[in-house]
Parts: sequence; C-alpha cells; structure tokens
Amino acid sequence: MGLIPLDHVKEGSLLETDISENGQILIKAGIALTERHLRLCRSWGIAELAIQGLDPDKIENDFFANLDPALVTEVQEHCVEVFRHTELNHPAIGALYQIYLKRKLRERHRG
Amino acid sequence: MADLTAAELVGSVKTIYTLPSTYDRLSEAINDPGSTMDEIAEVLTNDQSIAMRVLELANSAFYGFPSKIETISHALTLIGAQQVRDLVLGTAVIEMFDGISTQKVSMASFWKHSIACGLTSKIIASLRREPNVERFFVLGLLHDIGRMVMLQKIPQPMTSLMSEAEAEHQLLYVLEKKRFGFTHEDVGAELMLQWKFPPRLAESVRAHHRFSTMVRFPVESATAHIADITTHAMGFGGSGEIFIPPLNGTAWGLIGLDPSALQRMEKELERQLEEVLQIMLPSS
Repeated sequence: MGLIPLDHVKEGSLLETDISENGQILIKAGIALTERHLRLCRSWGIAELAIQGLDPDKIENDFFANLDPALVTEVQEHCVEVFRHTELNHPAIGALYQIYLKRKLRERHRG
Repeated sequence: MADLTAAELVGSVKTIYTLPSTYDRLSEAINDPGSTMDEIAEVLTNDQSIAMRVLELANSAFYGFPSKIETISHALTLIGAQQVRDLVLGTAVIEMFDGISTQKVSMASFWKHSIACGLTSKIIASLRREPNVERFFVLGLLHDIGRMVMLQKIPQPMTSLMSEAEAEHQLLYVLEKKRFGFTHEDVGAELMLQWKFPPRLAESVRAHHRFSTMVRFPVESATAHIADITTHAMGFGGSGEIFIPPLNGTAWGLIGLDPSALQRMEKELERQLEEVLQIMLPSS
C-alpha cells in the first residue's frame, strides 16, 4: 500500500505504519486518526501517511474527479495563463503543467 | 537609468553586501594545503551560530545520514570541507539580506523560491551523479540574488516594471533587459564575481534564462535553468516573476531527465523544503 497525501486523509482512518522520529514512536500503527493527530502531523511537516485499505492512485483520481467543475475550469484558465510563455506540448512542460494544476486545485480546495 | 550597467549597480552596493569574516577565514583555511581538518573545524566552532546551523543541516533530511552527527569535525569529514564552506556561504548571504524588505516581493517568498531552487538543483545533480552536489545547491540558492539587489537598489523602476509585466502578460526578465539593458542574471553574476565565487557558478547564474550551447558551463547553466522553471511550476515561493519561464529544449536534453522524474522531485522537495527553510531561515 502506498502513501496518501495528508490532505486526503480523513478522521477515523487507520494508520498502517508507525510514525516515528529518531527511533521514538510518535503515533502507533493501527490507531484511528483524530483531527488532533492530523494537526500534529501537519506541524511535524509530514506530507503523506500510510493508511490501511486505501489505494493512493484511486484516492487521488477520486479527489480530482469529484471537484466542483466550475472550480476546475477556473483553475485551468489560471494555469494556461501562467504557462502562456511555455510550449505545453514539450513533455517536461506537460508534466510540470500537471503538477502545477494539481497543486493549485488542492490549494483552492483547501480554501 | 539607461546608462547604468549591472557592474555599476553592484559596485554601488559593495559596502552593504559583504560576506562575514568567518567565511573568509574558512576559505583561507581550506585553500591552505598546510591546514588540518582540526584547524578548519576550529574556524567554524569559533562562530557559534554558523557552527550550529552546519550541524542542523548535517542532521536534516538535506543529507539523511542514518546516525546523529554531534561535532563539527564529524560533519566536515562526512560532508567535506568545501561543501561545508558552500553551505556557510549560502546562510551568510541569506543573513546579509535579512530584515531588508522590498515592496513587491516578500523576503519569505523570495528565499523559499531560492532555497527550493537550490534543493532542486542539488536533486538534479544527484540524479546525474555529479560530484560535489552542494555547489549546485548554492547555484540554485543564488540564481535570483540579482533580483533582490535590483528590488532594493532601484525599487521604483522595478515596481513599475512588475506592474507592466502583469498588465502586458510579459516575462519580467525580458522587460528588465529592454528597460535596463541587463537582467537580474547579470546583476547576480557580477555580485558573485565580486564575492570571488568561481566563474562556473557566476556565469551559470548569468545564463539561467538564456541557455544556449554557447554558454561556458552548459551542465551548471542547464541545471539552474531547469531547477528555476521546476520550482516556479511547483509554486514554492516566488521572486517576482508571474509566469513560468520558457523551457529550453536543448538544456532539457542535455540534463537527460525523464519527465516522470519531476513528480518524484516534487515529493522529495516536499520532504526536504520545510526543514531546510527552518534551519536556513529561522525568522520565517
């Protein structure tokens, strides 16, 4: 099982592996994560968590598929504007465009 | 304004932007073939704040060493004296500009972009198995330093140029060239030459938006070019440029990355950036 971005982890999700630092366990595997745990994870700079029974690719696809279409259109227009001086058909720029778009969508979704 | 050159602009700030004496002493000790590792370590330990930062970096995700590094001599042995000097230099430059505010670009955002670009350059160099990857970190860290000088020394023209860039949908560095006859790349390169940086780094800073096969140091220039664009596209901070700068296909080909590596780089940056920011930019 892969890692789930912290923003996609819901309260009550079961942690798959221990969160530890310098050998000391901070949160134990198997625990149902509370809002406080998620806040702590953010303050520790943790970006992703391993969650039991979740497939990261599916989570990510579902997240983007379920976004408000108006928001997606608005963010896409912004991305096209920001990338206006680049050649979008270059494979590297294409990859960077996708990264930028997804980061903006997550940012806007968080509000 | 039209007849001012990048070198003159840098000359006018000579007394403001000077590197700390620890850096000079460290360089001297490293360049002296007769000095021992202990003597180099002593120069560092005499400057507590720098010594502490070197140790923090050595113990961070920036290196990811498995065990704790307790002493400066240990850090010097593991990382290498020249690499430690590069890190000292990077933190010294950030400190030099600390507390100076600019109207249009916040310091926090500027250094976030710079540090992220440094980390990206270092990751690219590691993927290419280049030796001494810290110099790539310094290259990325300082690639936009000329912009900071321009924002501070000629704030009015820069502010109006930034408004123009926004209104006309133009790249800021293109407008800089049109307005002044030089860009922030030239200013940065001149400043670095004045600081006695190796031309390899200074000239690569000068070429980070205008890569061509004619540049003197193609690998370094192409790395800075790609790292800058990548950092912009990942949205880590900013240096006043609204648009993603165009990618030079030849530079991309020279570095030889697979586009799928960019997504892995994003994750690696997420992992390293906050920690390195906290160490190098304690006031943020």
